[in-house]
Amino acid sequence: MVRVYLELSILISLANPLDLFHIQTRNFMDELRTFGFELVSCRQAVEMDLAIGLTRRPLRVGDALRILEVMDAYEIKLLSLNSRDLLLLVNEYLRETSLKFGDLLHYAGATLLNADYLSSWNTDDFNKRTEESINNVNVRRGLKTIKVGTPNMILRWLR
Amino acid sequence: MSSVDIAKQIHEDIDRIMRGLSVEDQEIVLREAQNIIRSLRRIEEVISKVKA
Repeated sequence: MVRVYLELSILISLANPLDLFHIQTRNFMDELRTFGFELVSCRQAVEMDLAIGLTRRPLRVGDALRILEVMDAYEIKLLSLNSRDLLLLVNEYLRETSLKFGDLLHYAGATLLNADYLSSWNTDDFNKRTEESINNVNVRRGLKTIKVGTPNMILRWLR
Repeated sequence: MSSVDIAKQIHEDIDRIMRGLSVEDQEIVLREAQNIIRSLRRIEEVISKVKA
């Protein structure tokens, strides 16, 4: 089964009807479910995002609860990984890329969860160039390579 | 703020917190983040029960 990993920007836009990408995200989710694909995210990465989003703002308690609620509603699996394995991979990526730790938790999560696609609306930090840097490390370590794109790009690849 | 801006800001904050910590300390931060979200879910459950 094809496994699609959802990064934080996707989850936020899905949970917020006023977000610029909300309708596109909902259509993306509906289409993926029609294909019968598995929708996943890394528990540690999402919990870290929500906890830091709450403590440092910009998230409010209601926002975080709504994100968890839509994940249940859309049957997005929140899967746990061994934290040490996850962090060791993030730290290896850190040495080879200029990406932020929070981004890398999702890259490492997607890789270790054997996702086929990593989806994000943040094209500055999730794009073809960053995909190549991440996959260089993954190939060297014998890990699965991932394809990174926006929901629109992923749907185009799948059709 | 759009979903992209919010996600970027959170990931930058995480970077400031986690970069430079030992893996052991990073593990502790992840565990504490998990506890925050668990507590939040429990609070929500209690509130839902009370309101029902």
